[in-house]
Amino acid sequence: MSALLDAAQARVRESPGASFWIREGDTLSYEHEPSGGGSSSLCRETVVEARHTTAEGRRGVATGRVSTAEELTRLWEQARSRSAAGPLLASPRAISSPPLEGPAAQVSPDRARGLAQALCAALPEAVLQAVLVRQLAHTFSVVEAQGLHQERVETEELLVRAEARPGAVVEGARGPLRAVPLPVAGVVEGLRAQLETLVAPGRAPTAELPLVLRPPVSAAVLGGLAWMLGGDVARSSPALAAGAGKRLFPSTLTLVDLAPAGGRRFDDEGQSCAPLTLVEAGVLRALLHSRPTAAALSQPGSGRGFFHPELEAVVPSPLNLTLLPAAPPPLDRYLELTARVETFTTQTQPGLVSLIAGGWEVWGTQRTRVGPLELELPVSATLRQLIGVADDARWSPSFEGVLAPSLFLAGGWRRPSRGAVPGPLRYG
Amino acid sequence: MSPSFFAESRRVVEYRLNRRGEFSTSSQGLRGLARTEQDGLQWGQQSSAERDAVAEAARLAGPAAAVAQATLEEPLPPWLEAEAAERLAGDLQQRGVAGGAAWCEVVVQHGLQRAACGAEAEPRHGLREWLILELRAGLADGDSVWRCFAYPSLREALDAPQRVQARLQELLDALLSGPRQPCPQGWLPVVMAPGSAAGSFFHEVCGHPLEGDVLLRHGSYLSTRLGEKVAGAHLSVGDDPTRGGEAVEYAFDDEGTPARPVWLLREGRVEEPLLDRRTAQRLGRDSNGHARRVSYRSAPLPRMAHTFVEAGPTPAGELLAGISHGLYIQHLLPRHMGLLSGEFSFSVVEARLIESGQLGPRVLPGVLRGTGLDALRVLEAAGDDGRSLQSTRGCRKLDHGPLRVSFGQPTLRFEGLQIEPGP
Repeated sequence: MSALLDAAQARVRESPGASFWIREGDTLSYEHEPSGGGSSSLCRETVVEARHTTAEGRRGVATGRVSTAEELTRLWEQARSRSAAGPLLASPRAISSPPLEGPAAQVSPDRARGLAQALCAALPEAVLQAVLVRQLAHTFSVVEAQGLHQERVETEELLVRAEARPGAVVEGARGPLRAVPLPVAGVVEGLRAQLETLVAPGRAPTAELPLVLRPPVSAAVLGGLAWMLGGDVARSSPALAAGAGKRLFPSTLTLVDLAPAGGRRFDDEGQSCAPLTLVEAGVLRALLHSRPTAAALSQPGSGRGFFHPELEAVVPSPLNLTLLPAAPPPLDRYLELTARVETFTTQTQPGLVSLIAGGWEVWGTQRTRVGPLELELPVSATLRQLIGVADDARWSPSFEGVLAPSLFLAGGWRRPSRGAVPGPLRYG
Repeated sequence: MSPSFFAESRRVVEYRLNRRGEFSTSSQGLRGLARTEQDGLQWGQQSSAERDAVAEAARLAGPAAAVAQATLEEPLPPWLEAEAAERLAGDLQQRGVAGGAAWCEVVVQHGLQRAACGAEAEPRHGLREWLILELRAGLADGDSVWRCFAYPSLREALDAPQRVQARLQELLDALLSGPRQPCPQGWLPVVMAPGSAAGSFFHEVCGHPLEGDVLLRHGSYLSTRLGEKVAGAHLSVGDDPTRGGEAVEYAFDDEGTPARPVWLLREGRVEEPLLDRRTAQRLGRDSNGHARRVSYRSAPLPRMAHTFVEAGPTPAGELLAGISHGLYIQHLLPRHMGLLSGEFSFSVVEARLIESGQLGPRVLPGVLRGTGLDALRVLEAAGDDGRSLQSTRGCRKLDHGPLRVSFGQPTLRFEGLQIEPGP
């Protein structure tokens, strides 16, 4: 790594406009077989995005896995050749970062196996489809003319997928890799609650009651909102692109994106990951931006350009998007959706979240199982019904960068008839 | 079991021409090596990229070292250049719009993968290539139709422009066939078109439930029914990576096991699961060549490659006869699948009414739902006209994806399936 860093720093000194993003480290995936055994996969690699910005401010990028100074140089030359036709960017904001301290954390197959085994032992009754522990020990470096910024991301994630009658349900937890292993109790409790909800079919809801979406269900709505507020998506939606300062949601909705404790201080373009308020009491304040999307909309950057491993490109992404708590009105009778069946996609159309969820109709202390129900929730129309947000936000294993709390929505949804049967539950 | 390795050098280029005439390129290049060792029931894999991988390859034992190094260092054959792709896509877009579509989008994906793998004493190696072309054309009201086809090599694609144009015409004929009717509702006779995206039905309903890891945890409605009859004798479903043509093809899987066809259901009976080495060992069987990896960075899993329904003796043209009111399904997308119960739902993206034994107008989107056992039981005939389909979408089993898969099927008739209007 130090040889590559040296090479990158030398290139930046010699070639005005050159800069580099480098991710180096280990990714361990341990997939446990509940019937015994398991398989671990350790990937050690260095991914580099070489960038070249012309004197006019146009940027070209090239991405690859590199091991040598020569490969790094070749990558930068590709970036330079693309820069003349690249997007025109505003000057980056300078940031400062303290030097790294101490050695990097180590991934550990034994620790991962222990965590997976503890989870399986606590859930003997469940048919587990997958138990996955993912450990990341990555060092991120941004090398640019203003200096070298480095930080570490060292996390452990536990993800479990279990079979319920109508389909699979998912639970998970995330924490720092250096701390004691993740406690499995919360994951076990969450999974049991979902499985209990779906163990038998319930009846249809009896009335258009207020709706309470618990975190496994609300995460999909928040995921849809994160997608909508991405600068790349908002570009094609005039209402959002020009919506800053406008009231789009009720005053109960304040949406923030905060780095988790020990998380990122700068994004993969070297911009500060300062706390970001996207919606303040219903008023749109900002979008999730990488530098190119901010430039395209002539908006200030928001330091949310992160490398997407599948796209192999930097795209606007949230770090830890959540809604701030807003006390809901007391509810005596409501429909509470607590379990979500995994579907192949949750956004069947842009801005429309489609779900299969089960839950309970609650009348005071009486709870009657309902569903599984199909829901089609247009994100904007649904969140306009927001009457409260609980302070129980949880990491969502299915929606990257989302911390989902319980959402309280007013009644008034409908189930438009589709032929002889009622269709999915939807607002708007 | 002896240590094994997997080395690959891969480039996948994808070109898109959107409806506004904007042409874009994305490209993924991978070069790396994974080494797998077993300790009891624990399998561990360590992978590295680029130069580090070449250095690791040199440390492999026996003939594997030379084979892996060559795989990593030999340049890949030429891939489809942007200029040729833009010309091809532009021509198709122009023909689509001239043919009556309001807009037309084209995706061209060309992939090349040089792979070597297996036991270090007995490595296998070869080159895999594919070219996928997707067309979507639409009308101003949002209605659109999608078609997709694949070639085993770039040369075959460039040498056969008439075939592409014929598919485009087929797409335009469907798109311009008149306004869509509401999707019908109820338990209706259903016919699935040959080689259409309806093939994903058997991938979900028969394929995943019979993968080795699913069997190990008794995790599906078919996993406890090996040897049982679940459909009529006219239904045989298999997975065969050796068929070629438009199908996903390989001579050996990603653990070096020779590929072979596997019958999932044979003459209506549940026959054999899809296995990699690990699940084969646990089940006391031999691997049947279905270990597949998304890349050198992922561990292998038992997966499908080309899942097909065997053609039957009935002339396909006769399968609509006698249906007074039904649905002819041309494109399905999976919505959800409950492996344990076999409950499924699919979005019906493209379909036509069947009226008095004839194809009628197209219908608006719908939903197909049911359970695997019921659906297999009411499949009453397979036509004599099998065709294949491969798209860029891929399979994402347990978040290991996208992995190229393909489907093959003849025209199929179900006595009845539950259909309802969709979103």
